[in-house]
Amino acid sequence: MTLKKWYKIIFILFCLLLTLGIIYYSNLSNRHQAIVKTYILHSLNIIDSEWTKGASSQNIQLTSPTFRIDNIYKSMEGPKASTYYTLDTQKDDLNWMTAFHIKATEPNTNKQLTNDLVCHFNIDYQDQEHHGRWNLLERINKQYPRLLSLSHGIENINFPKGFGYPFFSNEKFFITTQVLNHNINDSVFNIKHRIDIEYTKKKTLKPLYPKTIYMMLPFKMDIINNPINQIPVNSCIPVETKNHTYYNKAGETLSGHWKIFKEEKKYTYNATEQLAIQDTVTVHQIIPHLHPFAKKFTLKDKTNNTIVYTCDVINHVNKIGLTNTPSLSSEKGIIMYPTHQYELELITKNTLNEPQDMMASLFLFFYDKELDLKIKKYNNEN
Amino acid sequence: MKTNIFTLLLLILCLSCSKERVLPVLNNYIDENGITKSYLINDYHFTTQLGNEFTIENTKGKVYIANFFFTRCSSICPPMREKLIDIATTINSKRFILTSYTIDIKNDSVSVLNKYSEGTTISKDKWFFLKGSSEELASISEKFRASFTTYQNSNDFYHSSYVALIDTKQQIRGFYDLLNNEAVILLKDDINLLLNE
Repeated sequence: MTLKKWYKIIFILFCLLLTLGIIYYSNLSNRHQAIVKTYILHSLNIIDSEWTKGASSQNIQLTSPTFRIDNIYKSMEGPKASTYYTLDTQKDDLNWMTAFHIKATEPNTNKQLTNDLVCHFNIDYQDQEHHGRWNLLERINKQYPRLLSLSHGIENINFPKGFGYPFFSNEKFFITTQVLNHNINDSVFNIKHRIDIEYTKKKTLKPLYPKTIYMMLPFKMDIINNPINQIPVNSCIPVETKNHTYYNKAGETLSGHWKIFKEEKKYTYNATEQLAIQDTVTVHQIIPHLHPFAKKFTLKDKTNNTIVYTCDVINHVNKIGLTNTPSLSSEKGIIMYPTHQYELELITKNTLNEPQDMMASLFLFFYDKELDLKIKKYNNEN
Repeated sequence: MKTNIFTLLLLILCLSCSKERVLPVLNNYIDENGITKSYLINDYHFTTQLGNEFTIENTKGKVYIANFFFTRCSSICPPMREKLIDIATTINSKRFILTSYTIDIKNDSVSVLNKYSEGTTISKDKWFFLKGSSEELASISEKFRASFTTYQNSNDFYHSSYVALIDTKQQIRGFYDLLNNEAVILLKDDINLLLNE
Protein backbone atom coordinates (compact mmCIF):
# COMPACT_ATOMS: atom_id res chain seq x y z
CA MET A 1 0.00 0.00 0.00
CA THR A 2 1.28 3.46 -0.86
CA LEU A 3 2.00 6.11 1.75
CA LYS A 4 -0.81 8.19 0.29
CA LYS A 5 -3.31 5.41 0.97
CA TRP A 6 -2.05 5.08 4.56
CA TYR A 7 -2.58 8.80 5.10
CA LYS A 8 -6.08 8.45 3.68
CA ILE A 9 -6.94 5.57 6.05
CA ILE A 10 -5.51 7.45 9.05
CA PHE A 11 -7.48 10.56 8.06
CA ILE A 12 -10.75 8.57 7.72
CA LEU A 13 -10.13 6.86 11.08
CA PHE A 14 -9.39 10.24 12.69
CA CYS A 15 -12.63 11.70 11.26
CA LEU A 16 -14.57 8.66 12.45
CA LEU A 17 -13.15 8.89 15.98
CA LEU A 18 -13.74 12.64 16.05
CA THR A 19 -17.37 12.15 14.96
CA LEU A 20 -17.92 9.44 17.57
CA GLY A 21 -16.30 11.69 20.20
CA ILE A 22 -18.57 14.60 19.26
CA ILE A 23 -21.69 12.35 19.36
CA TYR A 24 -20.61 10.94 22.77
CA TYR A 25 -19.88 14.42 24.14
CA SER A 26 -23.15 15.94 22.91
CA ASN A 27 -25.10 13.16 24.67
CA LEU A 28 -23.46 13.89 28.02
CA SER A 29 -25.27 15.87 30.71
CA ASN A 30 -24.28 19.51 31.20
CA ARG A 31 -22.35 18.46 34.34
CA HIS A 32 -20.36 15.77 32.56
CA GLN A 33 -19.71 18.04 29.57
CA ALA A 34 -18.21 20.56 32.02
CA ILE A 35 -15.95 17.84 33.49
CA VAL A 36 -14.72 16.74 30.03
CA LYS A 37 -14.30 20.31 28.79
CA THR A 38 -12.39 21.44 31.89
CA TYR A 39 -10.17 18.34 31.74
CA ILE A 40 -9.26 19.02 28.09
CA LEU A 41 -8.67 22.76 28.67
CA HIS A 42 -6.46 22.04 31.69
CA SER A 43 -4.61 19.08 30.13
CA LEU A 44 -3.73 21.04 27.00
CA ASN A 45 -2.76 24.05 29.15
CA ILE A 46 -5.22 26.24 27.24
CA ILE A 47 -6.21 27.69 30.61
CA ASP A 48 -4.22 27.62 33.86
CA SER A 49 -4.61 24.21 35.50
CA GLU A 50 -2.62 24.81 38.68
CA TRP A 51 -3.66 25.77 42.19
CA THR A 52 -1.70 28.58 43.84
CA LYS A 53 -1.15 28.06 47.55
CA GLY A 54 0.34 30.38 50.10
CA ALA A 55 0.21 31.23 53.76
CA SER A 56 1.18 34.04 56.09
CA SER A 57 1.21 33.84 59.88
CA GLN A 58 -2.57 34.25 60.09
CA ASN A 59 -3.96 33.54 56.66
CA ILE A 60 -4.03 30.64 54.22
CA GLN A 61 -4.65 31.60 50.59
CA LEU A 62 -5.61 29.22 47.82
CA THR A 63 -6.36 30.25 44.26
CA SER A 64 -8.07 27.70 42.05
CA PRO A 65 -7.12 26.77 38.48
CA THR A 66 -8.87 28.86 35.83
CA PHE A 67 -12.44 27.87 34.97
CA ARG A 68 -14.06 28.65 31.63
CA ILE A 69 -17.69 29.74 31.77
CA ASP A 70 -19.44 29.21 28.46
CA ASN A 71 -22.85 28.00 29.50
CA ILE A 72 -25.53 28.07 32.18
CA TYR A 73 -24.33 25.93 35.07
CA LYS A 74 -26.85 25.14 37.78
CA SER A 75 -25.76 23.87 41.18
CA MET A 76 -23.30 20.95 41.00
CA GLU A 77 -23.02 21.27 37.18
CA GLY A 78 -20.16 23.72 36.65
CA PRO A 79 -16.41 23.25 36.21
CA LYS A 80 -14.70 22.27 39.45
CA ALA A 81 -11.28 21.53 40.91
CA SER A 82 -9.93 19.80 44.00
CA THR A 83 -6.63 19.76 45.82
CA TYR A 84 -5.01 18.66 49.05
CA TYR A 85 -3.64 21.32 51.37
CA THR A 86 -1.20 21.15 54.28
CA LEU A 87 -0.08 24.33 56.02
CA ASP A 88 3.48 23.18 56.74
CA THR A 89 4.54 19.54 56.36
CA GLN A 90 7.61 20.12 58.55
CA LYS A 91 5.81 21.44 61.64
CA ASP A 92 3.57 19.61 64.10
CA ASP A 93 2.21 22.56 66.10
CA LEU A 94 -1.43 23.31 66.90
CA ASN A 95 -3.41 26.02 65.08
CA TRP A 96 -7.05 27.10 64.94
CA MET A 97 -9.11 27.93 61.85
CA THR A 98 -11.36 30.88 62.70
CA ALA A 99 -12.77 32.31 59.45
CA PHE A 100 -13.39 31.26 55.84
CA HIS A 101 -13.94 33.33 52.69
CA ILE A 102 -14.46 32.61 49.00
CA LYS A 103 -14.82 34.93 46.04
CA ALA A 104 -14.78 34.75 42.25
CA THR A 105 -12.00 36.73 40.58
CA GLU A 106 -10.88 37.73 37.10
CA PRO A 107 -7.76 35.58 36.39
CA ASN A 108 -5.49 38.30 34.96
CA THR A 109 -6.33 41.25 37.20
CA ASN A 110 -7.50 39.40 40.36
CA LYS A 111 -10.43 41.84 40.37
CA GLN A 112 -13.41 40.51 42.30
CA LEU A 113 -16.35 39.33 40.18
CA THR A 114 -19.91 38.60 41.23
CA ASN A 115 -20.24 35.80 43.77
CA ASP A 116 -23.09 34.45 41.64
CA LEU A 117 -20.22 32.50 40.03
CA VAL A 118 -19.48 30.56 43.23
CA CYS A 119 -21.42 27.32 43.62
CA HIS A 120 -19.55 26.11 46.67
CA PHE A 121 -16.20 25.64 48.37
CA ASN A 122 -15.85 22.51 50.52
CA ILE A 123 -13.14 21.72 53.03
CA ASP A 124 -12.86 18.13 54.30
CA TYR A 125 -10.64 16.90 57.10
CA GLN A 126 -9.13 13.40 57.05
CA ASP A 127 -11.18 11.32 59.45
CA GLN A 128 -8.50 8.85 60.59
CA GLU A 129 -5.80 11.50 60.73
CA HIS A 130 -7.74 14.20 62.57
CA HIS A 131 -9.43 12.01 65.20
CA GLY A 132 -6.50 9.56 65.37
CA ARG A 133 -4.10 12.30 66.49
CA TRP A 134 -6.36 12.98 69.50
CA ASN A 135 -7.00 9.26 70.03
CA LEU A 136 -10.74 9.84 69.60
CA LEU A 137 -11.12 6.63 67.65
CA GLU A 138 -14.83 6.18 68.28
CA ARG A 139 -15.43 9.27 66.09
CA ILE A 140 -13.87 7.71 62.98
CA ASN A 141 -16.31 6.77 60.20
CA LYS A 142 -19.29 8.17 62.09
CA GLN A 143 -20.05 10.91 59.56
CA TYR A 144 -18.78 12.36 56.31
CA PRO A 145 -15.62 14.27 57.29
CA ARG A 146 -16.72 17.69 56.03
CA LEU A 147 -15.51 20.66 58.01
CA LEU A 148 -17.73 23.11 56.17
CA SER A 149 -19.10 24.28 52.88
CA LEU A 150 -19.47 27.90 51.85
CA SER A 151 -21.87 28.37 49.00
CA HIS A 152 -23.78 30.84 46.89
CA GLY A 153 -25.48 33.28 49.28
CA ILE A 154 -23.00 32.72 52.10
CA GLU A 155 -19.42 33.36 51.02
CA ASN A 156 -17.88 34.56 54.31
CA ILE A 157 -17.94 33.00 57.78
CA ASN A 158 -16.28 34.03 61.03
CA PHE A 159 -16.62 31.62 63.93
CA PRO A 160 -17.86 33.31 67.13
CA LYS A 161 -15.18 35.03 69.21
CA GLY A 162 -13.20 32.56 71.30
CA PHE A 163 -14.00 29.51 69.12
CA GLY A 164 -12.09 27.74 66.36
CA TYR A 165 -11.40 24.48 64.58
CA PRO A 166 -8.13 22.95 65.86
CA PHE A 167 -5.64 21.49 63.37
CA PHE A 168 -1.97 20.67 63.21
CA SER A 169 0.38 22.38 60.74
CA ASN A 170 1.15 19.06 59.03
CA GLU A 171 -2.50 17.97 58.88
CA LYS A 172 -3.97 17.29 55.44
CA PHE A 173 -7.23 18.84 54.16
CA PHE A 174 -9.12 18.23 50.93
CA ILE A 175 -10.44 21.34 49.19
CA THR A 176 -12.98 21.48 46.37
CA THR A 177 -14.45 24.48 44.62
CA GLN A 178 -17.11 24.58 41.89
CA VAL A 179 -18.49 27.19 39.51
CA LEU A 180 -22.11 28.36 39.28
CA ASN A 181 -23.76 30.42 36.55
CA HIS A 182 -27.50 30.80 36.55
CA ASN A 183 -27.75 33.94 34.44
CA ILE A 184 -24.95 34.78 31.98
CA ASN A 185 -25.52 33.03 28.65
CA ASP A 186 -24.31 35.63 26.15
CA SER A 187 -20.54 35.48 26.69
CA VAL A 188 -17.61 33.17 27.29
CA PHE A 189 -15.12 34.14 29.99
CA ASN A 190 -12.62 32.77 32.51
CA ILE A 191 -12.66 33.03 36.28
CA LYS A 192 -10.77 31.74 39.31
CA HIS A 193 -11.93 31.14 42.85
CA ARG A 194 -9.92 32.70 45.67
CA ILE A 195 -10.18 31.03 49.07
CA ASP A 196 -8.95 32.61 52.30
CA ILE A 197 -8.81 30.78 55.61
CA GLU A 198 -7.91 32.78 58.71
CA TYR A 199 -6.07 30.94 61.46
CA THR A 200 -4.35 31.63 64.76
CA LYS A 201 -1.97 29.93 67.18
CA LYS A 202 -3.71 31.37 70.30
CA LYS A 203 -3.96 28.74 73.01
CA THR A 204 -7.13 30.08 74.61
CA LEU A 205 -9.68 29.10 71.97
CA LYS A 206 -12.43 26.54 72.45
CA PRO A 207 -12.78 23.76 69.85
CA LEU A 208 -15.81 23.36 67.61
CA TYR A 209 -17.05 19.98 66.40
CA PRO A 210 -18.64 20.08 62.91
CA LYS A 211 -21.72 18.10 61.94
CA THR A 212 -23.65 18.20 58.68
CA ILE A 213 -27.37 17.48 58.42
CA TYR A 214 -29.36 17.57 55.21
CA MET A 215 -32.93 17.26 54.10
CA MET A 216 -33.77 13.99 52.32
CA LEU A 217 -37.01 13.17 50.52
CA PRO A 218 -38.32 9.73 49.56
CA PHE A 219 -38.54 8.58 45.95
CA LYS A 220 -38.99 5.34 44.05
CA MET A 221 -36.12 4.36 41.75
CA ASP A 222 -38.55 3.06 39.11
CA ILE A 223 -40.32 6.43 38.65
CA ILE A 224 -37.24 8.44 37.72
CA ASN A 225 -38.05 8.41 34.01
CA ASN A 226 -41.81 8.84 34.41
CA PRO A 227 -43.52 11.96 33.03
CA ILE A 228 -43.94 14.59 35.77
CA ASN A 229 -47.74 14.12 35.98
CA GLN A 230 -47.24 10.43 36.77
CA ILE A 231 -44.97 10.98 39.78
CA PRO A 232 -46.68 9.86 43.02
CA VAL A 233 -47.59 12.67 45.42
CA ASN A 234 -45.32 11.39 48.20
CA SER A 235 -42.27 11.13 45.93
CA CYS A 236 -39.76 13.79 44.98
CA ILE A 237 -38.06 13.92 41.60
CA PRO A 238 -34.42 13.25 42.39
CA VAL A 239 -31.46 14.94 40.71
CA GLU A 240 -28.11 13.16 40.20
CA THR A 241 -29.20 9.91 41.86
CA LYS A 242 -25.65 8.56 41.56
CA ASN A 243 -24.30 11.09 44.06
CA HIS A 244 -27.26 12.00 46.24
CA THR A 245 -29.21 8.81 46.90
CA TYR A 246 -29.43 7.54 50.46
CA TYR A 247 -31.19 4.63 52.16
CA ASN A 248 -33.03 4.67 55.47
CA LYS A 249 -33.25 1.74 57.88
CA ALA A 250 -36.39 0.49 56.12
CA GLY A 251 -34.43 0.29 52.86
CA GLU A 252 -36.37 3.15 51.23
CA THR A 253 -34.52 5.35 48.75
CA LEU A 254 -34.14 9.02 49.65
CA SER A 255 -32.72 11.93 47.69
CA GLY A 256 -30.83 14.92 49.02
CA HIS A 257 -31.14 16.77 45.68
CA TRP A 258 -34.54 17.16 44.06
CA LYS A 259 -36.66 19.26 41.70
CA ILE A 260 -39.09 21.99 42.77
CA PHE A 261 -41.94 23.32 40.63
CA LYS A 262 -43.71 26.65 40.17
CA GLU A 263 -45.48 26.91 43.49
CA GLU A 264 -44.79 27.56 47.14
CA LYS A 265 -44.09 24.29 48.90
CA LYS A 266 -43.19 23.17 52.41
CA TYR A 267 -40.94 20.19 53.10
CA THR A 268 -40.19 18.66 56.50
CA TYR A 269 -37.61 16.11 57.58
CA ASN A 270 -36.94 14.50 60.97
CA ALA A 271 -33.26 15.30 61.60
CA THR A 272 -32.95 13.66 65.05
CA GLU A 273 -31.12 10.59 63.77
CA GLN A 274 -28.71 12.59 61.62
CA LEU A 275 -27.92 14.88 64.53
CA ALA A 276 -27.23 11.85 66.80
CA ILE A 277 -26.75 14.08 69.85
CA GLN A 278 -25.23 11.98 72.65
CA ASP A 279 -25.02 14.55 75.48
CA THR A 280 -26.48 17.99 76.05
CA VAL A 281 -24.50 20.27 73.73
CA THR A 282 -24.36 23.92 72.68
CA VAL A 283 -24.36 24.89 69.02
CA HIS A 284 -22.38 28.06 68.26
CA GLN A 285 -22.43 28.32 64.48
CA ILE A 286 -24.93 27.19 61.86
CA ILE A 287 -24.19 27.64 58.15
CA PRO A 288 -26.95 26.88 55.62
CA HIS A 289 -26.50 25.48 52.13
CA LEU A 290 -29.47 26.24 49.89
CA HIS A 291 -30.29 26.72 46.23
CA PRO A 292 -32.08 29.65 44.57
CA PHE A 293 -35.85 29.77 45.22
CA ALA A 294 -35.43 28.59 48.82
CA LYS A 295 -37.53 30.95 50.93
CA LYS A 296 -37.14 29.92 54.55
CA PHE A 297 -35.13 27.16 56.24
CA THR A 298 -35.66 26.27 59.88
CA LEU A 299 -34.29 23.83 62.45
CA LYS A 300 -36.97 23.16 65.05
CA ASP A 301 -36.82 21.58 68.48
CA LYS A 302 -40.09 19.64 68.22
CA THR A 303 -40.00 18.54 71.86
CA ASN A 304 -39.81 22.10 73.22
CA ASN A 305 -41.66 23.56 70.25
CA THR A 306 -38.91 26.14 69.83
CA ILE A 307 -36.81 27.30 66.91
CA VAL A 308 -33.06 26.58 67.08
CA TYR A 309 -32.28 28.46 63.87
CA THR A 310 -34.22 30.04 61.06
CA CYS A 311 -32.92 31.44 57.82
CA ASP A 312 -35.01 33.99 55.92
CA VAL A 313 -33.50 33.67 52.48
CA ILE A 314 -33.11 36.73 50.25
CA ASN A 315 -33.27 35.83 46.54
CA HIS A 316 -32.14 38.17 43.75
CA VAL A 317 -34.99 40.22 42.29
CA ASN A 318 -34.44 40.30 38.53
CA LYS A 319 -32.24 37.25 38.05
CA ILE A 320 -31.72 33.80 39.52
CA GLY A 321 -29.56 33.66 42.62
CA LEU A 322 -29.25 34.03 46.34
CA THR A 323 -28.44 37.47 47.75
CA ASN A 324 -28.10 36.24 51.30
CA THR A 325 -28.67 33.10 53.34
CA PRO A 326 -27.94 34.32 56.88
CA SER A 327 -25.96 32.07 59.24
CA LEU A 328 -26.13 31.83 63.02
CA SER A 329 -23.11 32.76 65.11
CA SER A 330 -23.34 32.79 68.90
CA GLU A 331 -20.70 32.97 71.65
CA LYS A 332 -23.28 31.92 74.21
CA GLY A 333 -24.63 29.07 72.08
CA ILE A 334 -28.00 27.36 71.89
CA ILE A 335 -28.55 24.20 73.93
CA MET A 336 -29.58 21.00 72.13
CA TYR A 337 -30.59 17.82 73.93
CA PRO A 338 -30.07 14.09 73.27
CA THR A 339 -33.67 13.28 74.23
CA HIS A 340 -35.31 15.89 71.99
CA GLN A 341 -36.74 15.49 68.49
CA TYR A 342 -35.48 17.89 65.82
CA GLU A 343 -37.00 18.73 62.46
CA LEU A 344 -35.82 20.55 59.37
CA GLU A 345 -38.48 22.65 57.62
CA LEU A 346 -37.90 24.16 54.20
CA ILE A 347 -40.23 26.48 52.31
CA THR A 348 -39.48 26.97 48.63
CA LYS A 349 -41.04 29.26 46.04
CA ASN A 350 -40.08 28.70 42.46
CA THR A 351 -41.20 31.75 40.50
CA LEU A 352 -40.28 30.32 37.09
CA ASN A 353 -42.14 27.89 34.85
CA GLU A 354 -39.10 25.63 34.63
CA PRO A 355 -38.44 23.11 37.47
CA GLN A 356 -35.41 24.07 39.61
CA ASP A 357 -32.95 21.97 41.63
CA MET A 358 -33.05 22.14 45.42
CA MET A 359 -30.76 21.06 48.26
CA ALA A 360 -31.04 22.04 51.91
CA SER A 361 -28.21 21.32 54.35
CA LEU A 362 -26.97 22.77 57.61
CA PHE A 363 -23.41 22.76 58.87
CA LEU A 364 -23.61 22.88 62.65
CA PHE A 365 -20.67 23.56 64.97
CA PHE A 366 -20.93 22.32 68.56
CA TYR A 367 -18.62 23.16 71.46
CA ASP A 368 -16.38 20.07 71.72
CA LYS A 369 -16.01 19.61 75.47
CA GLU A 370 -14.15 16.29 75.25
CA LEU A 371 -11.53 17.71 72.88
CA ASP A 372 -11.28 20.94 74.89
CA LEU A 373 -10.15 18.99 77.98
CA LYS A 374 -7.56 17.15 75.89
CA ILE A 375 -6.27 20.35 74.29
CA LYS A 376 -5.88 22.07 77.66
CA LYS A 377 -3.76 19.16 78.93
CA TYR A 378 -1.84 19.08 75.64
CA ASN A 379 -1.11 22.82 75.94
CA ASN A 380 0.14 22.32 79.50
CA GLU A 381 2.55 19.65 78.28
CA ASN A 382 3.79 21.61 75.23
CA MET B 1 31.30 34.42 33.91
CA LYS B 2 30.28 36.58 36.89
CA THR B 3 26.66 36.32 35.77
CA ASN B 4 26.91 32.51 35.61
CA ILE B 5 28.35 32.28 39.14
CA PHE B 6 25.63 34.64 40.41
CA THR B 7 22.91 32.51 38.73
CA LEU B 8 24.42 29.34 40.20
CA LEU B 9 24.55 30.85 43.70
CA LEU B 10 20.97 32.05 43.34
CA LEU B 11 19.88 28.57 42.26
CA ILE B 12 21.66 26.94 45.23
CA LEU B 13 20.07 29.50 47.56
CA CYS B 14 16.61 28.83 46.12
CA LEU B 15 17.04 25.06 46.41
CA SER B 16 18.24 25.30 50.01
CA CYS B 17 15.28 27.54 50.90
CA SER B 18 12.61 25.39 49.25
CA LYS B 19 10.95 23.16 51.80
CA GLU B 20 10.93 19.46 51.19
CA ARG B 21 7.56 17.78 51.62
CA VAL B 22 7.61 15.50 54.64
CA LEU B 23 4.84 13.06 55.51
CA PRO B 24 3.57 13.21 59.10
CA VAL B 25 4.00 10.29 61.49
CA LEU B 26 0.41 9.33 62.29
CA ASN B 27 0.91 6.52 64.76
CA ASN B 28 1.59 9.25 67.30
CA TYR B 29 -1.41 10.23 69.40
CA ILE B 30 -2.19 12.46 72.35
CA ASP B 31 -3.29 10.51 75.41
CA GLU B 32 -5.79 11.53 78.13
CA ASN B 33 -3.03 13.44 79.97
CA GLY B 34 -2.09 15.49 76.92
CA ILE B 35 1.15 13.55 76.40
CA THR B 36 2.17 12.47 72.89
CA LYS B 37 2.57 8.70 72.70
CA SER B 38 3.34 6.45 69.77
CA TYR B 39 3.02 2.81 68.74
CA LEU B 40 4.39 0.70 65.91
CA ILE B 41 2.66 -1.72 63.55
CA ASN B 42 5.01 -4.54 64.49
CA ASP B 43 3.11 -7.21 66.39
CA TYR B 44 0.68 -9.24 64.28
CA HIS B 45 0.10 -12.74 63.00
CA PHE B 46 -2.04 -13.39 59.91
CA THR B 47 -2.40 -16.06 57.21
CA THR B 48 -1.90 -15.23 53.52
CA GLN B 49 -3.98 -16.40 50.54
CA LEU B 50 -1.42 -19.18 50.09
CA GLY B 51 -1.86 -20.38 53.68
CA ASN B 52 1.52 -18.98 54.75
CA GLU B 53 2.24 -17.06 57.93
CA PHE B 54 2.34 -13.26 57.63
CA THR B 55 4.22 -11.39 60.36
CA ILE B 56 6.54 -8.43 60.84
CA GLU B 57 9.19 -10.41 58.90
CA ASN B 58 7.12 -9.92 55.71
CA THR B 59 7.07 -6.12 56.02
CA LYS B 60 10.59 -5.47 57.29
CA GLY B 61 12.29 -2.89 55.06
CA LYS B 62 9.11 -2.50 52.98
CA VAL B 63 6.81 0.42 52.29
CA TYR B 64 3.27 -0.92 52.22
CA ILE B 65 -0.39 -0.01 52.13
CA ALA B 66 -3.13 -1.67 54.17
CA ASN B 67 -6.88 -1.79 53.65
CA PHE B 68 -9.88 -3.78 54.87
CA PHE B 69 -12.34 -5.58 52.60
CA PHE B 70 -14.38 -8.77 52.16
CA THR B 71 -14.66 -10.85 49.01
CA ARG B 72 -18.51 -10.79 48.84
CA CYS B 73 -18.56 -6.98 49.02
CA SER B 74 -20.22 -5.66 45.89
CA SER B 75 -20.44 -1.96 46.75
CA ILE B 76 -17.15 -0.16 47.35
CA CYS B 77 -14.72 -3.13 47.16
CA PRO B 78 -14.75 -3.59 43.34
CA PRO B 79 -13.76 0.06 42.58
CA MET B 80 -11.25 -0.09 45.47
CA ARG B 81 -9.78 -3.24 43.96
CA GLU B 82 -9.38 -1.54 40.56
CA LYS B 83 -7.46 1.31 42.18
CA LEU B 84 -5.26 -1.13 44.12
CA ILE B 85 -4.47 -3.06 40.91
CA ASP B 86 -3.54 0.27 39.31
CA ILE B 87 -1.25 1.14 42.25
CA ALA B 88 0.31 -2.35 42.27
CA THR B 89 1.13 -2.13 38.56
CA THR B 90 2.32 1.49 38.69
CA ILE B 91 4.72 1.11 41.64
CA ASN B 92 7.31 -1.37 40.43
CA SER B 93 9.68 -1.35 43.41
CA LYS B 94 10.29 -4.70 45.11
CA ARG B 95 10.33 -2.74 48.37
CA PHE B 96 6.61 -1.98 48.00
CA ILE B 97 3.80 -4.41 48.89
CA LEU B 98 0.03 -4.30 49.39
CA THR B 99 -1.88 -5.90 52.27
CA SER B 100 -5.66 -6.41 52.32
CA TYR B 101 -7.29 -7.74 55.50
CA THR B 102 -10.60 -9.57 55.22
CA ILE B 103 -13.22 -8.53 57.76
CA ASP B 104 -15.40 -11.52 56.89
CA ILE B 105 -13.36 -14.20 58.66
CA LYS B 106 -16.30 -16.59 58.63
CA ASN B 107 -16.74 -16.76 54.83
CA ASP B 108 -13.36 -15.72 53.48
CA SER B 109 -11.34 -18.93 53.76
CA VAL B 110 -7.74 -19.16 52.54
CA SER B 111 -8.95 -20.76 49.29
CA VAL B 112 -11.56 -18.03 48.77
CA LEU B 113 -8.86 -15.39 49.30
CA ASN B 114 -6.57 -17.22 46.89
CA LYS B 115 -9.24 -17.27 44.19
CA TYR B 116 -9.95 -13.59 44.78
CA SER B 117 -6.22 -12.87 44.59
CA GLU B 118 -5.93 -14.68 41.24
CA GLY B 119 -8.59 -12.35 39.84
CA THR B 120 -6.29 -9.40 40.38
CA THR B 121 -3.42 -10.86 38.26
CA ILE B 122 -0.98 -9.25 40.71
CA SER B 123 1.89 -11.39 41.99
CA LYS B 124 1.13 -13.16 45.27
CA ASP B 125 4.39 -11.97 46.78
CA LYS B 126 3.39 -8.38 46.09
CA TRP B 127 -0.26 -8.30 47.20
CA PHE B 128 -1.09 -10.25 50.34
CA PHE B 129 -4.72 -11.09 51.16
CA LEU B 130 -4.78 -11.75 54.88
CA LYS B 131 -6.99 -13.53 57.35
CA GLY B 132 -6.59 -13.61 61.11
CA SER B 133 -8.47 -14.26 64.31
CA SER B 134 -11.13 -11.75 65.37
CA GLU B 135 -8.74 -10.54 68.12
CA GLU B 136 -5.89 -9.99 65.64
CA LEU B 137 -8.30 -8.24 63.28
CA ALA B 138 -9.61 -5.93 66.02
CA SER B 139 -6.08 -5.11 67.12
CA ILE B 140 -4.72 -4.33 63.65
CA SER B 141 -7.80 -2.34 62.61
CA GLU B 142 -7.46 -0.12 65.69
CA LYS B 143 -3.80 0.48 64.84
CA PHE B 144 -4.75 1.35 61.25
CA ARG B 145 -7.52 3.65 62.56
CA ALA B 146 -10.07 1.61 60.62
CA SER B 147 -13.55 0.76 61.80
CA PHE B 148 -16.17 -1.55 60.44
CA THR B 149 -19.56 -2.73 61.57
CA THR B 150 -21.98 -5.47 60.61
CA TYR B 151 -25.23 -4.29 59.05
CA GLN B 152 -28.22 -5.02 61.22
CA ASN B 153 -29.73 -8.47 60.62
CA SER B 154 -27.37 -9.30 57.80
CA ASN B 155 -23.99 -10.81 56.99
CA ASP B 156 -22.82 -7.65 55.26
CA PHE B 157 -20.32 -5.17 56.65
CA TYR B 158 -19.89 -1.44 56.52
CA HIS B 159 -16.26 -0.42 56.09
CA SER B 160 -14.41 2.59 54.77
CA SER B 161 -12.62 3.02 51.45
CA TYR B 162 -9.40 4.28 53.04
CA VAL B 163 -5.93 2.74 52.94
CA ALA B 164 -3.13 3.41 55.39
CA LEU B 165 0.42 3.98 54.14
CA ILE B 166 3.18 2.47 56.29
CA ASP B 167 6.89 3.20 56.03
CA THR B 168 9.91 0.91 56.50
CA LYS B 169 10.01 1.79 60.22
CA GLN B 170 6.47 0.39 60.75
CA GLN B 171 5.03 3.90 61.11
CA ILE B 172 1.76 5.14 59.53
CA ARG B 173 2.48 8.09 57.23
CA GLY B 174 -0.91 8.78 55.66
CA PHE B 175 -4.52 7.79 54.99
CA TYR B 176 -6.01 7.94 51.49
CA ASP B 177 -9.51 7.44 50.12
CA LEU B 178 -9.28 4.97 47.23
CA LEU B 179 -12.55 6.24 45.77
CA ASN B 180 -11.07 9.71 45.31
CA ASN B 181 -8.88 10.10 42.20
CA GLU B 182 -6.88 13.00 43.69
CA ALA B 183 -6.18 10.86 46.78
CA VAL B 184 -4.91 7.99 44.62
CA ILE B 185 -2.57 10.34 42.72
CA LEU B 186 -1.27 11.68 46.04
CA LEU B 187 -0.90 8.15 47.43
CA LYS B 188 1.32 7.14 44.48
CA ASP B 189 3.47 10.26 45.02
CA ASP B 190 3.73 9.53 48.74
CA ILE B 191 4.68 5.87 48.19
CA ASN B 192 7.53 7.05 45.95
CA LEU B 193 8.47 9.68 48.55
CA LEU B 194 8.77 6.97 51.23
CA LEU B 195 10.66 4.62 48.90
CA ASN B 196 13.23 7.39 48.47
CA GLU B 197 13.39 8.37 52.16
